[in-house]
Amino acid sequence: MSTKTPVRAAEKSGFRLGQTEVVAIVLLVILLSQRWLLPLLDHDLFNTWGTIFVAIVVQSAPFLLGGVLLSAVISTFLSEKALSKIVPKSPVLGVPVAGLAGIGLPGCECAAVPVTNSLIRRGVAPAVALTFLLAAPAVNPAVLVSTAVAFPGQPMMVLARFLASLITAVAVGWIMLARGKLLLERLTKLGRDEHAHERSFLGNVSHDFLHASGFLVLGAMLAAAVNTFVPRSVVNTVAGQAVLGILTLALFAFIVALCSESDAFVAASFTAFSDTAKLVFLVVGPAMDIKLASMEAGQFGMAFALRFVPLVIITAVASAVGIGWWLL
Amino acid sequence: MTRTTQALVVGFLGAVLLRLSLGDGYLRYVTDWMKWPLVATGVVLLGLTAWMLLRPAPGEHDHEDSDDHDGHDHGHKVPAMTWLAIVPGVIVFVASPPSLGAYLAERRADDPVAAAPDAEILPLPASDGPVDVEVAEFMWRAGVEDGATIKDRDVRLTGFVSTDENGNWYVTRIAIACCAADASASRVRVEDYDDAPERDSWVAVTGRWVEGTAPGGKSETAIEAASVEPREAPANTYQ
Repeated sequence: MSTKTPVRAAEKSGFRLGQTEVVAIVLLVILLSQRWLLPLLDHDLFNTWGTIFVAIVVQSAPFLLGGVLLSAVISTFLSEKALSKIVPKSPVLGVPVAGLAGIGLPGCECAAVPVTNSLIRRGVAPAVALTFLLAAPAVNPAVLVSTAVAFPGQPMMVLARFLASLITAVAVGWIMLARGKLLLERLTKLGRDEHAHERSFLGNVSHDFLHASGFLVLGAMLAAAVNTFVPRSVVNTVAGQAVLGILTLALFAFIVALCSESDAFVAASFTAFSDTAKLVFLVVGPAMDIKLASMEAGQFGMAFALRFVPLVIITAVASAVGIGWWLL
Repeated sequence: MTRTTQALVVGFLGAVLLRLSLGDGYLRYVTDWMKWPLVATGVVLLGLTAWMLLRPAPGEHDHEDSDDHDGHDHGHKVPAMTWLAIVPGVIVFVASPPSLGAYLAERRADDPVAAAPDAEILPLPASDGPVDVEVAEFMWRAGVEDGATIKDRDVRLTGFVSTDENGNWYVTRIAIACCAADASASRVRVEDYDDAPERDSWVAVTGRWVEGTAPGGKSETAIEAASVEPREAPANTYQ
């Protein structure tokens, strides 16, 4: 889905061979030099990074495959007619419906990206599909239950998380409708994969899996690096300041990329922060993090991601602060 | 990426997941309920690989035609980023990253630990010998009602050894909620036992709570050791 494809297609035969060789050589060098490289690196540091990186990939893989299978079902078997019966005709109405539909898909945010892509392919309005993308990982029962467990005796936290996440998803959908005309049209064009319906079910599964997995791995590498190299005490130093605390936890939620079923436990451990700041952490994380941004850049294009990512983060912070001020 | 390479990338990932989940390897990275989802994922990915290798090659010419006209290759070209999908497998096979241990625990030592459960704190079961208590539980018991439930009781804590810059050593456990990315450490300082065991080795420490020590208190939670025995590391090192 890269915009450089025409150029690449032109030089196809020569370029592809070169790329394969370069990557193979780099891999070989890494493998062979490991013995000399490892002692140079801080061994503990590298191992910790490796463990967390592999953990994120292993944890996400079943969810990604599940999302890819569901998206292949949508691409292969669901006709546009059938979908148009489920999704309201007017996108303005479709956005809140998609937000509420997110309650029904318990799962990881990695699953939502390919599903969203397949919805756009099948002609669902992009704003509606994107609302679903934001809502699905954040408002499902599994996430709410884990939040209740992590914050015993604070049922308001669960309600606040549900409301703030839902408002974020719907608000972003509506903002995209009102302001993002050009971007949405690009997305419709990009997303329209005419071949999707021609390909077999397995063809769609392998196509989607290959398109998403690399970006998931990139996101996991970055998140693991932050997790390993940035000590939590740095985060805790700003706990006392209201505004700085909120912005820090928003940024932290973006870069550590925890799965939405477990982030409540981490949020609960930020005891020095205000409840509103913790809520911001819980609302930003499932809606947008480094792993999701990487996957979205891969599926929808860099230009789209550069606008969509900040929009989601700003909306999520605003909605969480508003709800936190009201409820907590 | 050629069609064969694509199939191999998917197959490699599937094989790695299957290998991790059929042994105990996956327990280093995720919780134990992930076993069967991982086995299923590995099997499906390997099946997908077989299908990708065996499917008839599409008529290359038909594809070139349709590709050229909107400048988009919808056929079988994948983003260069897909190459990264081999990295996790390479790291598992080459470096085989171990369970998180003393290194992470020492870095996370100052993080606040989980609060005591809201329910009423039950007393430890009556027993003649020492009672086995989890490290995290020992810590929150120390913080509740001035440690009334563990005061003057013989307890046994099992965990691995971590240290600090002052030469103290700790019996330590790491808990994960979902995967190793959300790990949190809890640890109890071991007093009156200067001959510290090797870092990251597993021990069972029998002894009594040092009165007045608690998480977030003046002095971190500590145990006065009567005996320290080496232990085998459990298959699942996390709580």
